[in-house]
Amino acid sequence: MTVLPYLEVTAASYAASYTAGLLVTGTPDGAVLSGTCPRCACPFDFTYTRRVYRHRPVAGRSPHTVTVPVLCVCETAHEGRPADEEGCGAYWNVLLERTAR
Amino acid sequence: MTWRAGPGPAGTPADLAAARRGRRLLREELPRVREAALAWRNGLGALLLGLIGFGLLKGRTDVGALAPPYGPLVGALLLGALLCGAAGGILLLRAAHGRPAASTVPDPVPGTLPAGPVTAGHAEALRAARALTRGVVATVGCAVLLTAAVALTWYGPAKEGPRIAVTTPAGTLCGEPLSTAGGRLRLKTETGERTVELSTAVALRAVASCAPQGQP
Repeated sequence: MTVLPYLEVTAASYAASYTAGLLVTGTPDGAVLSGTCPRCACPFDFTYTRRVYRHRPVAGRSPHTVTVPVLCVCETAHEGRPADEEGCGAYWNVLLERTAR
Repeated sequence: MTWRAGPGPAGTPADLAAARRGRRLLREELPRVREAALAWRNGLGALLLGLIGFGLLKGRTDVGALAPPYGPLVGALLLGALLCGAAGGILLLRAAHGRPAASTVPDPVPGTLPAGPVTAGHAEALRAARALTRGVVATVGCAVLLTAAVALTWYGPAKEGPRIAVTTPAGTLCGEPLSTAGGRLRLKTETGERTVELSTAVALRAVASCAPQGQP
C-alpha cells in the first residue's frame, strides 16, 4: 500500500466518505468519532468535546446540532509532515446531530 | 449523549486551524491538570501547616475542661477534620499523579480503533479535574473544621467556675468563692459552705480544680 505524502487539503467528497463508515460514541461532554481518513484510508479517532480543563466556559446548553471541524490525525508516517503535526493533512467538516441526551 | 453524524459544510483553512487548536487543547489538558493539582497540593499543605503552627499558640488544651456538650462537639469536629483531611489528601494526590492502579482496557471491537492517547488523556483529565475540585473542597473543609475545633477548645465555656484554694495554719480549703465580707471569705466546698478568716490565710491560690494533686 502506497503511503501518501502529507498535504493540507480538503475536498467536497471527504465529509460524506468519512461519515459513511463512522462510529460515533457519545461521552458525557461530547463524542468520540472513530473512522477512516477519506484521503489516506488510515483509521483514527477524533474527540469532540464541549468541556476542556481551564478553558473559557461557554454559556448555555450544548446545541442540538454542531459542525465539528475534523482533521486526519492518523499515526501513519506521511512523508513531508511537519514535526508538530499529525495525520496526512486532510480536513473536512462533520455535522453532529444530538439524538438523545 | 448519543449523536448522529452527517457531512458538514465544505472545509476551509479556518476549520483546519480550529481543529488543530482543539487537538492542541486536548493534548495539553492532562499536563495542565496535573500541574495545577501539584500547585494546589503544595499550597493547601502549607495552609494546613500554618494552621498547625497557629495551634501552637497556647490557649486551653484540655478538652475535658469544657462544659458539656462542647467536649464531644470538639471531638466530632476533630474527627470531621481528620476525615476531610484524609479525603482531601487522597483526592489531591489522585489528581496530581493519577489512580494508583491499573485500568481495564475495553475489549477490542472488530473493525474499530481503541481510544487513542488524546481521547484517553481527555477522559483522564476530566476525572483528575473532578478529583482536584473535590480535593480542594475537602482540604479547605478540613482547615475550617480544625479552626472551629481549636476555637471552641480555647473559648468554649469551662465545665467548672473558678476555684480558690486557701491555706491556713489549720489546713487548706478549696472551693468556689461565693462572697467576701468583714475580712471573711465564703467558699462553696465539696463538704458544703465554709467561711475562712482571711487574716489567718498564709496562701491564696486560684486553681483550675479542687481535685487532689495526681487525680483527674
